[in-house]
Amino acid sequence: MKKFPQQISLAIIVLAYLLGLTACNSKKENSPQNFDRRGLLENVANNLISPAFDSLHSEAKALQAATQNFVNAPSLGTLEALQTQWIQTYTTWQSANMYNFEFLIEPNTLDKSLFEEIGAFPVDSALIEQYISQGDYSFANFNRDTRGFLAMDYLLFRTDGNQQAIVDAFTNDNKRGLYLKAVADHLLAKIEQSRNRWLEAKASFIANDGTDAGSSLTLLFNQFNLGYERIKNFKLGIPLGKRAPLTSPAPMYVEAYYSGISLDMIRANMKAIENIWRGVGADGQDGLGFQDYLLAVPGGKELSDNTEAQLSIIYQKLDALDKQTRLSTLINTQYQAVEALHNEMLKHTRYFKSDMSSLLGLYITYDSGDGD
Amino acid sequence: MQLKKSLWHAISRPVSVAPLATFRFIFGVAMFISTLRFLWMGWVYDHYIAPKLHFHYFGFEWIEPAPAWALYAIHGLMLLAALGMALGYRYRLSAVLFFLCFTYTELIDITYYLNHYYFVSLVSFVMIFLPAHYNYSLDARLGKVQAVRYVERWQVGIVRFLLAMVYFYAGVAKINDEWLLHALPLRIWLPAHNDMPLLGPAFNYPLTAYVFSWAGMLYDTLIPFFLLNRRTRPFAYIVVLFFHGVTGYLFQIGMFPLIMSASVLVFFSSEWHERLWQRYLPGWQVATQAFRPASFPRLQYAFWALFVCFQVLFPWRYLLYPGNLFWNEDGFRFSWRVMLIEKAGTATFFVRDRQSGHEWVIDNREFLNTHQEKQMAMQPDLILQFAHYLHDYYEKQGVADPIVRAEVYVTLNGRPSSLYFSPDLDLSRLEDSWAPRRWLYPAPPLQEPPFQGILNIF
Repeated sequence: MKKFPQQISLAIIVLAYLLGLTACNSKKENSPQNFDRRGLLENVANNLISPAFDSLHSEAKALQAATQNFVNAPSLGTLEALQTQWIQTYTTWQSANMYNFEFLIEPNTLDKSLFEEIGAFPVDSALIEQYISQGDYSFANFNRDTRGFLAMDYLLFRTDGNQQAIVDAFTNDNKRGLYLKAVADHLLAKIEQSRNRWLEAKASFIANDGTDAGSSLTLLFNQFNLGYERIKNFKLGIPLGKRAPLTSPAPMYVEAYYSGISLDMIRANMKAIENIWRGVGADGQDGLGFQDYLLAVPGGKELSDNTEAQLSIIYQKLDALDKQTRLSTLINTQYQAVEALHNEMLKHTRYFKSDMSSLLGLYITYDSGDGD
Repeated sequence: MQLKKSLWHAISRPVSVAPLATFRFIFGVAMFISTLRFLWMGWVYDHYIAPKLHFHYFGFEWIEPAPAWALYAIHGLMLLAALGMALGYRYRLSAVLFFLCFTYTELIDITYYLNHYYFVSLVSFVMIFLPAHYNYSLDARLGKVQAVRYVERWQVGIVRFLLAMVYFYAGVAKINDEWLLHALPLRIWLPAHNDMPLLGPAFNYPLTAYVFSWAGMLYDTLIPFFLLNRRTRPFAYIVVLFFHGVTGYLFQIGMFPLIMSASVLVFFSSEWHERLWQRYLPGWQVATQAFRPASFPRLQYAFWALFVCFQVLFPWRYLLYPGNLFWNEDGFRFSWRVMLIEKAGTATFFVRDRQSGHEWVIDNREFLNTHQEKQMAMQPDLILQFAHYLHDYYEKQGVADPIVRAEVYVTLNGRPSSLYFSPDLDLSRLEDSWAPRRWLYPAPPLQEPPFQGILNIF
């Protein structure tokens, strides 16, 4: 019985402490470290992801229409219109291609993420030609490198720029047109699917605002990082011959090899990644992003500064590459300049990856904790 | 002579088997649920079947995962064995099977190491030799074993020792400047959970992290003593429930809080446990006043004395190593350092053909799952293991005796990340051993004054 009053007073102290801090919390706007995680998710969902899928969707529709026009009447004029539209659509893709959330994949299908379905490169041109000659437009196979954006890159462009030859190829073989049409249809269908699933999931994505594994913040963090690494590993590393078993540079493995817009796409993709980091929406408005979250936690300022410094080095290396020249050519002629970009991106990885998740206390995987 | 006699008496005097039987039941049920959960989450596939390679425990490099069907069979067997332990049915066989199956699966891949898995292995090993089924069990009721009421005191005490050891060492591990003077890593972890009801808003204040750090340290070090003392025990148990409740909510630590909260009941008195059985499962007690002394007493006493000594000494081995324990991790594992540091790394591996000089960059995801990569990138022994794997893998692919180097940046308790070791080291030529890891760069110092932000309230 003697202990009882002590316990009560302890309880009162604890309660008073909590109430005191909570009260302070509601009074002051800028209390220490009260970052609005839901605000970040809202910003990213409403101002980045939704607009990205929306414009991708409308551009894919326009691409389908332009494809139809070209296939109906192959000519230099319709080809040029289609090429312009393809570049426009593919550029939009660079702002959407990192959002490969698992919940966007149609359940109970053998589908993979949108990137794997429509963004695979390098394409297998021999296999594409084989399917065309067989008149096989079913896509009932797992050779995802025979369709998607980069299959159109192969069908619509030539590295020698001989436009007439492209038109002739379609005029001489109507199966080629049918294949091209099937690719554009498939592309739109897949994008539509992902966009619809995103619209359904958006509200719960915003509501899931914790920091545990499976929370939207960690899912976004993972996609953000995978998106970044895709630029470094696939768009640069592989063509530079950095991946086994390549023993020399492989310039033909660059993204968009035939149209030669690889560098522009790297830049657009990098910009989109940067926008997630800063929380900059499609309309250019600067909202809450990972950087803002970092700035709200101790030690975050230093990491944010380091990240910014390294980002500007990356852009310097990117700017140093001649915009008028194709990336595949640059790899042959200015290997070291391209390699320097890759190296700086490598150095940057730790800021986005382990440093940030560690400082924010994000659980990246399940079952990684250990406790008492 | 008198001393020896009283020591002998303290160890071997008859005590009720009831606390041990309750613990057996709780442990068995907890392991049954854990195993079921493990299967349900699909972790047998994710952890053991899907990965291309596994990271081995030092000395257990020969352990490889069994084929998928066998792994599922082992988990099925584990379920049965856990149930057998809970019910006290063919208890010894169940305990042996459980220990072997569980320990085998744990030994497959060290990246899944958790202190509580090690604890389960230790407990189930000890349980094999304890007479936990001498009463309140199917074995006793069916007459498979002669029921008794009393067993030797150490046979109940050793379970209490194991639990007390976990708490105590977890507390001692917290007595370091980063935990107490900088409230790290709680100052990083707590704000990430400011959405917790009631307590959440307080997590935004560094002061809370300091309060939690000190309270956590005091709790872990002192709770065993409060549990051992009859008078403080009920209050201590309420604290146990609160503590495990909060940590269980905050951190992804799975079944552990539940297991500990239930296991700690073993500290309660014989009478309490006998009443418990009487009230809830009255038919399970086989009425008898018999006492059975331990078999092979000399052998058992000697063995368990050694076992206890080892457990008491092993966590201190880090004192033999130079440098920062959290950075070098020499003697970090198997020492009850739980939820102690926030550490992460990014590791980029380079493989170079020793003859042609051509160098590739490795995409870790090609070989490792996210969890393996995360664990590997901050633990020196695992970095070496992966480097050796890459060496052998690419040598088989025809690369001439590959040079494997890595650029690894590690961040510890919020420090800006820094290079872990020289990126020019040929890791394929380094072997891990008991020797200090002198190839690592020293840990960068923490660049902040103690009690940072503690007054940041108003």
